[in-house]
Amino acid sequence: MEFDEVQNIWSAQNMQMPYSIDTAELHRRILSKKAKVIFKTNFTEWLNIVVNLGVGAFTLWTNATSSRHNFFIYCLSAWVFVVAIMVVIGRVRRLIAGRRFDRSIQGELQHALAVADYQVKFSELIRWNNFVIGGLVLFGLWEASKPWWTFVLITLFLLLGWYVSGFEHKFYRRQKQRLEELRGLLNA
Amino acid sequence: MTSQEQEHIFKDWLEQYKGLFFKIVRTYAVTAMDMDDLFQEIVIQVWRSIPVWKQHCAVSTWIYRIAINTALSWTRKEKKHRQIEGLEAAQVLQMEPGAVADDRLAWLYEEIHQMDVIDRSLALLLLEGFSYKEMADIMGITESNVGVKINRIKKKLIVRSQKQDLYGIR
Repeated sequence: MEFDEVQNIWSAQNMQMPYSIDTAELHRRILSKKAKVIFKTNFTEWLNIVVNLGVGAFTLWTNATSSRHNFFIYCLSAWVFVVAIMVVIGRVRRLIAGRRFDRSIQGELQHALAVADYQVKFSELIRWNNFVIGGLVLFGLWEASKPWWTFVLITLFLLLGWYVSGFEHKFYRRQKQRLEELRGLLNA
Repeated sequence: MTSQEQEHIFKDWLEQYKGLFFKIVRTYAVTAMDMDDLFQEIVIQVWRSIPVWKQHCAVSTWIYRIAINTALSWTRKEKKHRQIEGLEAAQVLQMEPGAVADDRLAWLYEEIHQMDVIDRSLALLLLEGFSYKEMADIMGITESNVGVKINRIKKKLIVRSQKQDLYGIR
């Protein structure tokens, strides 16, 4: 068979539509999917921002109004504010990037890879962030001469956070790996 | 652009280019559930792209560009997530009762499915009659690279068609 014949087989399907579209159902699905995607992404980002700002404001306020100022808790407040700002920057970048549509497959792939790379680095940072926050809390407790079992509890919580965040990190790494494979195919 | 204008353009595109949507969906997805899921993903992206659509670009090229990008990211998604979403959504694409199964076309789609996703995209554009330059623009690779890949795809399809009985194609 020559390629022209293959082309004819393909073109023949233009004469017949094997499917019909339930437009009312489609419209409903579009609205529901759109709302779901926007909700999921916004929720995660806003949750991060609000929790970090909330923790920062709370620790700053309790520390500032207490009779004994704790240096490490001030550091903790400053650190969570920095994390909140980083999440805001990430959100703005994502929103700007989402408005661009006129890109080639290569361009989209490069963009997706950049996003995946950002996610891998960010999830890694968030994992280590557990230790920074945990460390500052432990030093704060030590400075405030808290009982030993609070140290044990915080340490256990820290290890649990490290373990759970590992799943997220692995997921992003797999995603990035798949994109790199795809780029390899495109440029082969 | 008002939401009414966007809605109007969307309906118009959907009606005018539905054949194109079906072909793209069938190129990347195999099961009815997956086809339905991919179809929804593509139309959502096309709907979202309307406000930024560049008028100097042909609608079909624009739709292909968005649809292929969507299909590629859809194929990258975790399969289990797709199936969960698909379960509640397998209703938008409905098989026409009078549709006749074309064995030769089924064979061709099967061959395309066996290609990697990049070759699949190029095969689709090739069969849809895009020029090397247009394909290079859509894919973001050089025309010579497109040429090399297309030659490989053509050869593969010809060899495969000659090796098999093809359900009575020969």
